[in-house]
Amino acid sequence: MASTSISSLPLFARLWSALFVILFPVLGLLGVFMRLFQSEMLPDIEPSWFYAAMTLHGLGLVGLVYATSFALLITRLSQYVAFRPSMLYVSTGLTGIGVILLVVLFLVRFGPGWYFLYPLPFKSAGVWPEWAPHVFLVALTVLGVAWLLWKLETLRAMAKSFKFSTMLGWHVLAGKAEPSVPPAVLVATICCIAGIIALSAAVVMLVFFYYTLLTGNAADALLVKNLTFFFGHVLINLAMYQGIGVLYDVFPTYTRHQWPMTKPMAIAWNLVLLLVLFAYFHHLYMDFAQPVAVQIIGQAASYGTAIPAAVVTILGTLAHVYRRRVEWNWSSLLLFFGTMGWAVGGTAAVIDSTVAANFRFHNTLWVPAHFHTYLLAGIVLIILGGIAHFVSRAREYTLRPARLPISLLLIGAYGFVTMFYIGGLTSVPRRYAIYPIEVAHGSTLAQVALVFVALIMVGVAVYLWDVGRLLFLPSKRSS
Amino acid sequence: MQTQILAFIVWGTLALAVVGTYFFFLLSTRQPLEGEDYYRAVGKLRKPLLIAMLIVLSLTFGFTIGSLPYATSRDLPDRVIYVGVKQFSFLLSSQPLVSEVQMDTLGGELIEIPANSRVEFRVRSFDVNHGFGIFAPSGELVAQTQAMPGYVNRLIVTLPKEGTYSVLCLEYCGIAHHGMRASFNVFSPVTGSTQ
Repeated sequence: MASTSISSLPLFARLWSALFVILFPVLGLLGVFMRLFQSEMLPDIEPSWFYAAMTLHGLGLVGLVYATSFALLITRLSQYVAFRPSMLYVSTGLTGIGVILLVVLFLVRFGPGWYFLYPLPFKSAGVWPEWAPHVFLVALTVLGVAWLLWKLETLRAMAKSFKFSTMLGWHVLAGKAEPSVPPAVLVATICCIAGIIALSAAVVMLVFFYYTLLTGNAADALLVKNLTFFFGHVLINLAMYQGIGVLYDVFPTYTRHQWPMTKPMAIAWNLVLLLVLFAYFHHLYMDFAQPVAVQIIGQAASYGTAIPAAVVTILGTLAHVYRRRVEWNWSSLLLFFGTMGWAVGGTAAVIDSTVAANFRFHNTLWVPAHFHTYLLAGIVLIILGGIAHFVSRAREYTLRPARLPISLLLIGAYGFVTMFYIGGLTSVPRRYAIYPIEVAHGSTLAQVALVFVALIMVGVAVYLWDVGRLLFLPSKRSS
Repeated sequence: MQTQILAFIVWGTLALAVVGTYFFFLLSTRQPLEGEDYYRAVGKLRKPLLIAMLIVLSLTFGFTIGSLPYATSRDLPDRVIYVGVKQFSFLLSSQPLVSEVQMDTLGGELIEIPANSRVEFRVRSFDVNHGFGIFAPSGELVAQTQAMPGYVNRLIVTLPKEGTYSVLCLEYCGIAHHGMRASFNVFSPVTGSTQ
């Protein structure tokens, strides 16, 4: 982009980038509040606030990374295909309405957790008002509609420029080099298909919630749990995959070598589409009423998803930099290390997806350990790197290498999650506002984690000063 | 703790290997070589990596899939303990629990289990999802299952160590989730002691 005006940054990307750099620290602070609470440093605050913060922290950040990674991917895709901006802004507006409703619910201490296991939203134990589940279901419905529209518009836009089979890279599988399809299109197609399937499951899940809300009758808790985790698992994985689509498109800018679609890449992403839909069973290993066959499928599919990630994207990222003259800066370093977080967190996820290990780790701190690794040290870094790229190109701003603040971010993030891993090793349950005597050391781990949080905060603050503020500076006049 | 320690060591080793590999590749960019197609050279590692992962994951799958914790209809325990769960309490009983009313009418019962016997916990919830996590006297999580409305989960365990075991909730269930607890004793069938 040659313009010197900030307006040359597509407004859509600028909007979502601005939302991310504001909301990520705010929602992150809710997590800090939780660790302070577990450290017994806030003795006068009721535990209900801990659980309300936990709910908004989880729902907010999962939604934020999912939506922002998709917005950044759409921005990259807009080089190749034409979107209808109205659809993108309708989806964004609906997302905003959903988020406002969730914030209102936080204020009345609505706290069923980010995956709101049925029928917990209806069983408040006197904490949240009776109308809260109604508002919550409306918020989920609005968000579901928004994100479904987003996916459908993206598929429509790509399908106008590419044949469906080429969007999935099947021509590459057949040995044809043409037409040239950017990897971001392949990734976006996989994400749209899986996203539409997941959102369809969410619709069925919501029907069961509405059924109970309107009739007072109970639905099958195990069935709703399957639907909930299917939706949630696919959604959070798509957040990462969408970031990988951005990586494929942006990272070559700094290595000066293209990242073309190859046969292994096409095989890998088609496999991912299949495997990601079956891996969710690992969330239900401790539901012994599930058929044993699906538990075994869950372990096999979970192991399977690790292979394309490692063999194609992780190795591909490393191959891209080996002995090359790479322009290291805020963007390229964050993208590079973001894939490292994916690898480290993914390793822990594979371990936890082993039924025999899950028997000892399920709902201990091992769970937030692995997902914070590939979120905080993974997709968040990729999103921050993507934002840095967009804003620097739009403003013709030269990003600095920022080795020190990135080092602080990495040390902080890995130190922070290591306290979770030690918590898993020593059987500390997750989602406890107060630790009972058997696992009282959980408080000490939370205190140590706060030291690392301080390092993360310094790193984020420097990023906001170096990069984030550029989003909010007034536009320069084009010469 | 053996499972947890083994898992932590495996993860820690692999995590350090990943981090080391990333820094090795990062540092390699300090000495770039123009004209060399190192991308293709590194890409040749794809096949060995694929084969190595397939072998390691297949072996791990094969070794661990035989250790599933699920009871079958043929599994006959020495004793059955019925577990009722609701916000925010557990009830462990030697009598069958089929209704929420029993949760209120049946009093708490001191559960004593002989060490090394096969005990089945028949776990059900009467309101929301809960977790039934058994913590050894050392504080180690040794077994768990979920408690779900409308379903009965059968957890069969053999507890070799004597002492007082704690039961904590391992599925978030609301405001007093962290306060849910119960306990039972495992005693030596030889000495009759819990220690």
